[in-house]
Amino acid sequence: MLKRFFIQLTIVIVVAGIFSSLYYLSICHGLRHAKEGVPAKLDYIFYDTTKYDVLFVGSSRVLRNINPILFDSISGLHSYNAGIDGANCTLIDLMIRKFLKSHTPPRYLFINLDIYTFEKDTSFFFYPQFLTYMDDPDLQRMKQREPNLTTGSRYPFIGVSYFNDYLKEVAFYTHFNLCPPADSLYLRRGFMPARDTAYHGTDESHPLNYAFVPDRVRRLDELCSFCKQNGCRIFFIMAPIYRSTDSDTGVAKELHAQLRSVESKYDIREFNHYTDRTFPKNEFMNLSHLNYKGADRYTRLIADSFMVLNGQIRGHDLH
Amino acid sequence: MLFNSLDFLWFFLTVTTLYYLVPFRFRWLLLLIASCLFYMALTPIYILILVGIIVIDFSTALFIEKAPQPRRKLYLAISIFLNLGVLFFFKYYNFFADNVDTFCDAHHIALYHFPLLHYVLPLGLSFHTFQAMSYTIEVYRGTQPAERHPGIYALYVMFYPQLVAGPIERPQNILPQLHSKKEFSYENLLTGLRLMLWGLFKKVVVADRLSGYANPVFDHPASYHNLQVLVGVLAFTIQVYCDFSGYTDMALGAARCMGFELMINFRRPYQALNIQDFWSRWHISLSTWFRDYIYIPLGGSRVNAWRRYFNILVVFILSGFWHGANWTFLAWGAIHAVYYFIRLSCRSVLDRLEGRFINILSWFITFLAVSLAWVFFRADSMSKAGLVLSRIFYHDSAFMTLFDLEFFRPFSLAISLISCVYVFAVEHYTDPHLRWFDDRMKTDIAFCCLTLFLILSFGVYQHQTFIYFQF
Repeated sequence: MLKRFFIQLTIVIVVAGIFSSLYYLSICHGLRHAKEGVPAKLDYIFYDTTKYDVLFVGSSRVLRNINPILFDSISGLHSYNAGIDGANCTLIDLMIRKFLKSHTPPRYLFINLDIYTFEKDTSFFFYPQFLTYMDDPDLQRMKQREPNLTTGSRYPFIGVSYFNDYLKEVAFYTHFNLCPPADSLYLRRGFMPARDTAYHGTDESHPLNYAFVPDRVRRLDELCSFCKQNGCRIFFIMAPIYRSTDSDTGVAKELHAQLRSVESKYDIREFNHYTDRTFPKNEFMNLSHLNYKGADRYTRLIADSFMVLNGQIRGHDLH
Repeated sequence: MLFNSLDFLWFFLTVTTLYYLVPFRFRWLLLLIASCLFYMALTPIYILILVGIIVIDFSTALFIEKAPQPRRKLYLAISIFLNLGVLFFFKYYNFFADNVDTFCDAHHIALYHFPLLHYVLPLGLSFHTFQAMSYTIEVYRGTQPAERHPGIYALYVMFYPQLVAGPIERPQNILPQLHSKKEFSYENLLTGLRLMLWGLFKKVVVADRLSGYANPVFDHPASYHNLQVLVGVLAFTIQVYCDFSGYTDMALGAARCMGFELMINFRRPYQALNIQDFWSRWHISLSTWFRDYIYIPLGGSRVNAWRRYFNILVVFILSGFWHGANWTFLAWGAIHAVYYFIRLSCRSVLDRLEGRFINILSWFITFLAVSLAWVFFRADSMSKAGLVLSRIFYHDSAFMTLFDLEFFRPFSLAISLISCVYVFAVEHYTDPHLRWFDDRMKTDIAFCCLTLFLILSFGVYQHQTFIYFQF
């Protein structure tokens, strides 16, 4: 029995470990070649070389709220939406540095900031999507700088458990060539619109539990300096959120006060729609994201404000 | 501490290793300390409730054994009253207070306003209260001598593998095992680990994955169309089985690694051909508890038909109420009682029917009936249960949009279906203890490799608690 026990235990652990590792590598391979969803976008940001005039960076409030094609039709420029779900200060930093490394620096850089950006938690939102980039030197540098950054295990047989069904599905589709021939995300230039349905939630106030960490503003300062060195003109944008979310304006005010010094130091203009109450309920998908209709209006507002600043006021009324 | 957490893995390895390393006379102490730590990992203060129950039942059992007949009954009554009192206070008081207040308000009756208590329900309270009560009842009946060793008795109530979600053990099974010396056995370790692996698979790959379909449907039934609601209900049907039986398998496995044999709690319940058959396969430790301590003392089947129906109704209502202080659980119990009545009334006719088709039809009807009853078990309120049921039968023009929705992502759906088929296939061809694999080394290795691979690769690691922990 002793012999059987050890033979069985060894075989089971080794064989299951090998197959799990192979599956892990297969998922990584699939994700790196994916043409769908967030994995495709990351690869595009990290390694593509297309030249853009305008880059939008930030969280889902960029990803779902800014339509680059619409922006281009107004501004006559060429823009890309590099928004990533849950992007906080750390991730925005990484995205911009990676983008500037592989692409020609854009002339204009729009960074979305809100109270969520400066949270205490520096971990990447949905970090398994970055597992396939763990060998990337910039990501490694980021990890050294942020020792508490959660990026998952690099041991394949454990790492495989971090991938959720969505990532496994994307990898599976890539392997079996089941992705749509023309990737819609690519055609929309990174814009991932929310469903065109109106927000049906209540108007009850939702207290915000996000802690604003002033220390994170220092990181933003360094990032702005880096962008300036690369010749980018920076704009801060703050996306609208539904009014019932805004129960703690104190945090927003503090954020605003902290950003003032960075803005004046680098001559940054700010398009603040955080407390803009002109967006009706039917232009929101949920408390903090606009739907397609709202995104359309918000993009126009940003584009118009940008044109006004550049002295290129359009022929028709602005709002 | 959850069985599906890494903390438990280290805890289990440490306790099992130490168990065989320490001398026999200290093993009970080791297990008792381990059980206390296991319980205290969640809400430490509630250990005092367990201590209270242990002290009450240990001492009353000694009194019962020594006392003459009339007093024996009194001591038993005191023990049961105190046990149920604790259960009532922590589990049912708010339900009682809320309903009395609602009733009085509705009928304009000026009565004392019962204040609601705000605390978290102690983990597995119903399980260890019932286990403790079975001990005093058995001592009263004279089928079990009173335990003299307070530490061993405390361990009987607190033995960590079955402390928070059963099986609800009987003193005749577990107390002698706690007294006997367990020699280290590779066979026990192998079979125990195999059972634990299987239980973990059922929990993290099947139950937690299916909760992704069931939870949204039961949380917001109005937002889903009929096919989605139906899938959500069926998903919960399988989830509740895999969640609870997964826990039981892990409990049985953890106990077996130390040489203990706990009672079987499930025998392929979803293969039942009628509702009577279902209850002989589902949560066996609870159903036999009610049978032995409620149904038979009430007269069981040896009474006239109406009295028998009444006994069955009492048992099912109590069984529903045991699960939780909510009308939904009472409704769930009552529905099963009605199923049982139908089965008993038609038994003479149904038993005469034979054949493969009849068996498939019986199985299908039983499965469907049990699934629909789960709606009441899972729903937060009666109105929500009603809404879920009405959504199933509601005509929806979007009926065929199955794959257009994020709810049914083909990859997740495929993994869910494959893992369900795997569970039912393995359980169909083996036995509840998975002893079938003992003489088949190659098959056993292949089974363990595949199961571990599936756990690592397709497990849902959100550390969701077990459904039955709340009871």
